[in-house]
Amino acid sequence: MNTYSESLQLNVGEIKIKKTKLGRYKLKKRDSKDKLVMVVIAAMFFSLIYYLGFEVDYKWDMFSPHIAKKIVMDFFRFDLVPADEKLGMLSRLTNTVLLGLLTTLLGAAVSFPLGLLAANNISSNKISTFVNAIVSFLRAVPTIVWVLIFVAGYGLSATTAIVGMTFHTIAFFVKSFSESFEEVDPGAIEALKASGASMPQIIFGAIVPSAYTKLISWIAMRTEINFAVAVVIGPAVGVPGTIGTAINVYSGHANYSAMGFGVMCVFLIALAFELIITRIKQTQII
Amino acid sequence: MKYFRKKRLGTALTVNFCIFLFIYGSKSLEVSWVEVFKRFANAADRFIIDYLPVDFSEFSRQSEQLINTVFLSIAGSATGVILGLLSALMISVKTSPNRFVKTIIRTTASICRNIPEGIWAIILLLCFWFGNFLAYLVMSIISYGFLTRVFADTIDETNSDAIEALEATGAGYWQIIIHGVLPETMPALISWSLYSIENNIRSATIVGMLAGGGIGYLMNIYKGFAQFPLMMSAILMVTILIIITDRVSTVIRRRIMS
Repeated sequence: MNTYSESLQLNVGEIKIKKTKLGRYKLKKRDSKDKLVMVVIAAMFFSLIYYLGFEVDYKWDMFSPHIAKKIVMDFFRFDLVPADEKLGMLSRLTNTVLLGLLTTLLGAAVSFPLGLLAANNISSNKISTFVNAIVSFLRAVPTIVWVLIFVAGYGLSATTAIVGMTFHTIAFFVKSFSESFEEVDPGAIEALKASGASMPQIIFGAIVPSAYTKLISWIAMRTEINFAVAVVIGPAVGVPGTIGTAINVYSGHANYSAMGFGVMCVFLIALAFELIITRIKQTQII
Repeated sequence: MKYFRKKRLGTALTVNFCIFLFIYGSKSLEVSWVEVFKRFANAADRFIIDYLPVDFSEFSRQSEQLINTVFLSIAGSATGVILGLLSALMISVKTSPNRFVKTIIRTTASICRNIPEGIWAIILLLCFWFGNFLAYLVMSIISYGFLTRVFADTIDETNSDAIEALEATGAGYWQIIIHGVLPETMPALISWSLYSIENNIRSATIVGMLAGGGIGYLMNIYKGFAQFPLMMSAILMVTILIIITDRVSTVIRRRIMS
C-alpha cells in the first residue's frame, strides 16, 4: 500500500490526490483552463444575444437605400473634387501626420528618464512601484478624455490636442520602455558596474544599446496609434485643421466625393504605417 | 574607431532629424511652446474651477450607460470573433482554400482595420441612425479588422504536425479545422479576443461620442451643455471600468495561457 501511494505521487507530480469516504481517489486540483475558455465564450455569446435582442433600438425606417446608393456611387468619384480642395486636404493630412509624430517624439523624450525610473533593475524598488502605480492610472484614462480636460484651459486648438495626446503617450511609453529596460541582460549591467562605470555610462553603454530595437518598435507602434487618434480627435473634440474635422464637415455638407478622398488618404497613410511596423517587427525577430 | 565614428554620425543625424521635425511640426501646426508652459498653471486652475467638485447626481443613469458600454464592447468583439475566425481560416497560409478569396478578405480586413473608428462612425452615420446599433456596427468593424489579422497570424504559427497527421488519415477540410487547428490555437484565440474587448472598452468613449450609445454618448451631452462636474464623474467611472477590465482580462489570460 505504501509503495503504491508513493509511485502514484511520483507519477502525478505536483497534483494532490484526495481519498473520498467511498474509497475513490480524486484529483484535488482540477484543470480550470477549459472551463475558463467555455465561460469566456459563453459570456461573449450571451452579451451578443442580449445586446442585439434587448438593448438595441433598430431604426430601420431611418435607413434609406436611396441615400446609401448615392453615397456608394459618389464615394470614389475623386474627379468631382476640385484640385485646390485636394491640395487643402493633403496639407491637412500632413498636419495630422505631424501631430501624431510630434506627440510621439515629445512623449518618447519625456518618457525616457521616467522609464529608467520605473525599471526596477535600474532605480530602487520603491521609486519604480510608485512611478508604475501613477502611470497605470494615467494610462487608463482614454486619450480623448485628456484632450477634453485640456480644452477647458487651452481652448480649441492644435495645442490642446498635442498636450492631451502627449499625456497618454507618456503613460504608454513609460510602461513599455521600462519593460524593455527590465529585459536587458543583468550580466551586462553588472560587468559595467564592476569596471567602475558611472550611472550614465551604464545607461548609455549597456541599457540603451540592448533595448534599442525594442524602443524603436514601440515608438513606431505608438506613431501608428497617435495618427489614428489625431484623425479621430478632430471630429470628436473639434480641433481645427486636421483631416478628421475636414471629413466631418464634408459629411455634413453631403459632399461625398471629397469625403471619400479624405478617407482614402487616411487609409493609405495608416496602411503605410502598418506595413512599416510589420517590417520592423520581422527584422527584430530575425 | 571607424565603427564608433559611424555610430556617432548616425545618432547625430537621427537627433538632428528629430529636432528638425519638432521645429517644423510646431511651426506648421502653429503651436508655441512658450505659451503651453505659460498657460499650464492657468489651465490647471480652469480645470479645478470647471470640473471639481465631482458631481455624482446622475449616478444611476451613468451606471446604466456603463453597463451598456460593457455589453456593447463584448457584443462587438463577439461579432468580430465569429467573422474574424472564418476570415482568418480563409486567409491563413495553412488553411486557405484559394488565392482569390484570400486577396479579397485580406483587403477587406485591412480596410476595416486601418480606417479609425471615428471615421467609420462618420461614414456609417450617413446611412444609419445615431444610437446603439451604429455603435455596435462600428465596434464590430474594428474588432473584425484587428482579430482577422491576429487570428491569421496565430493559425500560421501553429504546429503543422497535427494538420499533417489528420491529412494522412484522410480527414476532410472541416474535420482538420475542428479537430486539429481550433483546439491547438484556442487559448491564443481567446486571449486575443479578450484583448479586443479591452480595446473596445477603451475606444467606447470616442465611438459613443460620434456614433451614440454607451457612456461616450452621455459625455457628449455633458460636453454640449457644459456640465463639466457631471462629465468628470463619467470620466472617473470610465477610468475605473478600464482598470477593472484590464485586471480581469490579464488574470484570465494568464490562467488560460499557462
